[in-house]
Amino acid sequence: MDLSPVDVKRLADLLHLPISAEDLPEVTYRLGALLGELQQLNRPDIWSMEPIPVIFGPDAGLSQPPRASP
Amino acid sequence: MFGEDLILRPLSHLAALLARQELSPVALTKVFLDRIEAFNGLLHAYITVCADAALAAARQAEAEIARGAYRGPLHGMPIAVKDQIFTKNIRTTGGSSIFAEQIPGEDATVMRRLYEAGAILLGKLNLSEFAFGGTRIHPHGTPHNPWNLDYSPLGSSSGSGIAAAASLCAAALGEDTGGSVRLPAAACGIVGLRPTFGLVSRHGVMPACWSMDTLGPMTRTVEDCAIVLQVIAGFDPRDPLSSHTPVPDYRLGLSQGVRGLRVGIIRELHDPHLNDTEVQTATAQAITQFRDLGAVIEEVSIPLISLAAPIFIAICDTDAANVHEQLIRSRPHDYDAATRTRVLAASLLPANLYHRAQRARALLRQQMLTALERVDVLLSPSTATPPPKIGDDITPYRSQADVIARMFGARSYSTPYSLAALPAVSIPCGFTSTGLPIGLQIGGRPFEEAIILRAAAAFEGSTDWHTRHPTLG
Repeated sequence: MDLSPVDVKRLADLLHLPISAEDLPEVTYRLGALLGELQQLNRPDIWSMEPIPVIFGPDAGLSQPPRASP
Repeated sequence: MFGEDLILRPLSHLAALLARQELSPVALTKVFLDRIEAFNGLLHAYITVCADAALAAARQAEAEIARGAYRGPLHGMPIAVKDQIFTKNIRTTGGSSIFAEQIPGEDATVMRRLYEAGAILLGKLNLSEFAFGGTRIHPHGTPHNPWNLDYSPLGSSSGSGIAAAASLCAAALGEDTGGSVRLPAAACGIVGLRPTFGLVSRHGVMPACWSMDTLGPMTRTVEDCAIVLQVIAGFDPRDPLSSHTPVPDYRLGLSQGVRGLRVGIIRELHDPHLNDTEVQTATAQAITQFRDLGAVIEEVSIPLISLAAPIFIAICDTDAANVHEQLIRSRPHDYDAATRTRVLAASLLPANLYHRAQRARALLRQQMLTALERVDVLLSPSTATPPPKIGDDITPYRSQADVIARMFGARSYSTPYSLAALPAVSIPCGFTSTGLPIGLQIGGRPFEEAIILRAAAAFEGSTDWHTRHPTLG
């Protein structure tokens, strides 16, 4: 994604996030690359899924064990 | 008896000697401490060595075993853990300078379980800063691969990989978020298991990503891995995501072999265009070995694996940005530049893209579970390439294209299991012509570590890779 250091600085300032002049280019490269890669996830099969963390699935083993009968 | 030969033996052999009182825990602990003293300056495996406390614990173990109160195979056994795991009254740095003097007031659940099993803590092991990958300057010393000091041991559980491989402990614990146990295990030529998420408590572990952090054993053999897992696995009420799934006996099926076991080769990770030639060859030979052992080999496809890297970065880094939200604002320059720029970039990721990555994560898990309906275990290389030279993989990014090429261009082999919350182990399956280890990854269904370890043990038993040791000094 085409992202400029000015864009990133403006966004960071809105969030009161301190990004030094030295770090700004690398933060811009990293964010731009990630935003671009994530465009590949704009697909019907992915939109059909719910964004629930997989660790809460029914087979994740998180349910409580059955209580013993009194 | 107390020389090089002894210290290179697997934990299971040492345990048998300790149980029969043919070996003293005090003598064994002293041998490991001497070896740490001799080689830690070269390798930077340990951040903190607990010599006095270890010897005191060894004396106590010796007395207990002598009076017949033997607790099991970790009783009197010198081990070490990643310095991300809280240890009461012993500093826990998280590999950072910010927490260089942090002294926890309590033990992590895994530490409590290890102590209850009689294990002796030799010290705390080096790691990438805050268990992130790509640290440029390690505050506590640059870790070196024991097979060749010019090469990286990979991370983030670098010290755990080094210490287990170089026999600076009988076994180590690492923590695997996106591959941090399996990658250094592959690079250092040892066994490293990422258990199913929820099997091992995260209580008392400095967090990286709340939905993927998983502690696992790093050992020289598969049986040793099973022994350590047996002690640390199981429900913990202090971890809200701890599983109630019963813990089986992990050593029980290790000798059952793989005859009839259905082994799936992941098409997307067994691609000669993606893998280093020697990695591809070693993996192909491993597949042949499994077939010769009686396994049924078939190819499976998990299409979304090709996008695992951006899905993982979007979720893991955003979680980490939340973990570090306060410190990254108050002490940004106390972070390594790689960690800092990674956390800052993730802090700016839109929430809708985070949720899109969560949707993709759910689909990836669905695809992996579908594949695991047809086969019992999945096979792939642990990494596409052998470990890089120190410094080669940590130079600052020079452009967006550079990030894409280095962070997303290479397919990720370890993160699919992290995203899918599935277990996977890396075991040695060969060496490059330059003498660097190559790892084979075996993954499986949720809470079926016993099947994964059975497959790993069958392969290990038919090869001699695990019997080789790095030459030091």
